[in-house]
Amino acid sequence: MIRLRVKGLMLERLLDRALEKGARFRSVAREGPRAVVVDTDEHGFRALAELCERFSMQYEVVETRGPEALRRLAKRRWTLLPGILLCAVLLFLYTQRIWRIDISFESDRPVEVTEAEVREMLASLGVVPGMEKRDLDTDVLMLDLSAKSEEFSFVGARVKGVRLLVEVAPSLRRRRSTTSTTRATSSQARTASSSR
Amino acid sequence: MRNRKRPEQLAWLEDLSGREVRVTAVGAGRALIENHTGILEYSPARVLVRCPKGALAVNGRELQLREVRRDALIVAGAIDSVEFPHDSP
Repeated sequence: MIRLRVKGLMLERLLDRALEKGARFRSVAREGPRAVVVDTDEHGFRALAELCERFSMQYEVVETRGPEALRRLAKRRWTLLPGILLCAVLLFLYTQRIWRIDISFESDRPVEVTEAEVREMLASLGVVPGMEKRDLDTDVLMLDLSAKSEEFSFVGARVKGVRLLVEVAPSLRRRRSTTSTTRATSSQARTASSSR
Repeated sequence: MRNRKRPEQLAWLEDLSGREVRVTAVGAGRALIENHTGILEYSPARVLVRCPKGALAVNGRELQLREVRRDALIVAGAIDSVEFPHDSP
């Protein structure tokens, strides 16, 4: 809806001529003897504006509302719509890839493998930031990562948005060997102390 | 050929030709005027529209025109009276 104020004489004739051109007015209100405020659509506005220019009458757009206002804004700032579309496309493409790989160790036990080593393992499997989500099968990744090292008792992988969450738990076997080493060390210490 | 007289009950059918001006009033605040042929005068106190048989006037206060089309419009406001054009015989 476009609201415009038209000033001049013989305004009824102007409205009549605009109606003959197919214009439609939602509302016409007098604003003094020489002015009317007209609510119309784009077609009516064009017809009135053309007549006003032809007969040298003053007109001004008071306000625009609704889809018409949106259309005029889009016309005035024509880069806005392509910009929004481009943004949407880029956002879609952006969300189709994995941009972060988070690794967490799910155990209180001392970890033999560092995060950097896990990242290297993932990189050797082709899992790097920027890869496409569709190229990643988390089930296969879990199996591959488990097979890659015996250090893990559990490997979990899931995709959350643009993040790949890898959860690893250190192997229990390694813990046992560490314990036996500790025991052996302590028994040697005892033997040494008794010999003294 | 015998000249048949139209029954009195069908007299209203004349109106279906679509050439007669038609005014539909909703209370005293709104009047739909159909089949007009143009706006002759518009002020908050008087709306004068051209009809095939003259000019139809709507008198009142704070009158506004709504939904103005080429052949129909609504006069809104405090309508005091509607003056029909006198049909010429």
